[in-house]
Amino acid sequence: MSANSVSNLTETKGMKVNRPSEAFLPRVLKTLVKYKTAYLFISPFFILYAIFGLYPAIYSIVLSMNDSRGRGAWKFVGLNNYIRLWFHDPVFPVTLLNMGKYLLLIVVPMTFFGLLLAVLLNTKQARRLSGFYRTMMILPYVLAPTVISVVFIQIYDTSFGWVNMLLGSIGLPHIDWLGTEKWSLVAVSLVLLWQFVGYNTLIALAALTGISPEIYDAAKVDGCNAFQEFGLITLPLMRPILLFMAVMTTIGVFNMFAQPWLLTHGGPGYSSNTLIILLYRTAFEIMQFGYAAAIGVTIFILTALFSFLQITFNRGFSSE
Amino acid sequence: MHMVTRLNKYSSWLVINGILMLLMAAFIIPFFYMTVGGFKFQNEIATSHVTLFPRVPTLTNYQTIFKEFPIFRIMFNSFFIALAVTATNLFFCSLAGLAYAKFRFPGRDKLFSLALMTMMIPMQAILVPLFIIMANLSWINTYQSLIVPGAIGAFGIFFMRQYIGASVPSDLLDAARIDGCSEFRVYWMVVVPIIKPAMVTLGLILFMNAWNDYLWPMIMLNDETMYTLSLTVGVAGLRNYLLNYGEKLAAATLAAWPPVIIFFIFRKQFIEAIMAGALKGG
Repeated sequence: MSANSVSNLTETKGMKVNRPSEAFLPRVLKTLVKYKTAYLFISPFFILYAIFGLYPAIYSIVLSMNDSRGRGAWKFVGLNNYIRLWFHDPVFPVTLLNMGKYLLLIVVPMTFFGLLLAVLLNTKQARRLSGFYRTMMILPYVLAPTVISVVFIQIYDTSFGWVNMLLGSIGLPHIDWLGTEKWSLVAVSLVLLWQFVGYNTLIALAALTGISPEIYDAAKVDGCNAFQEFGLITLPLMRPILLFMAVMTTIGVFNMFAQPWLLTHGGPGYSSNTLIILLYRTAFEIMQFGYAAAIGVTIFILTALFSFLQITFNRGFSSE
Repeated sequence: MHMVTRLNKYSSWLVINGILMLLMAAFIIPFFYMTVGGFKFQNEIATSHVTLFPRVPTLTNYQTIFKEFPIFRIMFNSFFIALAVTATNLFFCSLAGLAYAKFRFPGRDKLFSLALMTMMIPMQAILVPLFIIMANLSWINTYQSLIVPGAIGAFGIFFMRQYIGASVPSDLLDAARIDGCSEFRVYWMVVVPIIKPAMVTLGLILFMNAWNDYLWPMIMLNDETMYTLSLTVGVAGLRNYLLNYGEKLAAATLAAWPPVIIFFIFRKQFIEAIMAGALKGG
């Protein structure tokens, strides 16, 4: 490589493009050639994404406006699939309500217990065993959803499951966790909480250890007790990371499939159904591709909307 | 007075570590249940008389699993797919990360933001068209259907750009260029040795995700010889609509232990990776 093109790649040298006298296309070509190594290094991602990301995304939108079943021909139906989903499909409102319940039962406790456990791990009493605790609590995160589901189906079992044994030993009645409409969604939520709370704890802990001890020393001088310290220092400083945890968990909940599918198949009835299960069944059990694509687009819009709302809400909240 | 504070100190130590130990038990018990349960007979699992360790240890469950599934082939599939996805990601993401962190070119920051924005669209939302594309390519039941779409991820590019930006001195790159190295040689001889720790970290996360993946492999693979271990767990232990609990647990153990062993070897890096990701995300 010549010395000239080498210097083009270094940080110190300024850019010399955008000469307005030249036409657009030759200018672009010239830039591409001039910085070919850089563009070559970053291009594989964009090429791959164009084929397996962008193209299917556009395809999805087009497909969602067509009636397409299995190998049959497409028929343009405009927004009919969306209208059917939002106004005529009896399963969709149930599933949407489920998503609300899942969000409540997973996102809130996940953020709360993640913070609580991180605070416990950060005390000087727990510090010596901290490495052991971290390792143990992240272990569920490493396991496959299939593995976890197989184990929890047995642990939740009505007659021999260890959860019910425990309930029985303190005099409580056995519960058919996965087999009753009342409990299935709770049972699935508990599994997800079990799997990911350790991960969220580590994230909270990373932020917690980043808070300067001098701030706490100053608070002690001012006579703050432990609870005041937590409410006045820890919580405000942790707000960005707690929001990050909540947004990531929300995205995770909206895209939840493997655990509820393997534990309950979304049932009994539709009591633990999720949007992705609805999409999966529509596409691969009854082969209605157009309708399934509409569900996919809807899931994307809902996820984006909820993440956006959480961020906006938090911003408004903290600026008060 | 001195005694009282000492006592308080001990009791607070006991309370905090007691709570944490109980929670650790909750994290570890399902894993323990699985590992020992694979060596139990059906009638020892499905009983209200709980045993921790098998009273009569048996290998029957494992024998059945090995007889009914081409397990060695399935293990190979799992390793091959996970390693391939990890390798392509590490290579292409570090190349792109180097360009974004150290090169100067028009549109650099905009293209980087664009790459990050692609993370917004989850794979599940484009599941149907992706399936149709794969069917049209005749890629169903192939390795490439699981490797190629996920071969380069935006997260890896982000991760590598951060690391290279912070750890690779620009002077070192210039020095290698003056010595006449091509840009690729600079990458290979100078950058790669420096970023090895980041490669281990990112590699671990990529490997585990690929190994544990369920939805996409389930849609793409329907031939047993192409199955991954994760998929096999889902279908193992089912005969004539009867569920064999021990076989399920044995299959789960086979699928769970490889990533767990890797995790224990690299637990420091793995935990650091999660905590580092948190700081960037926040």
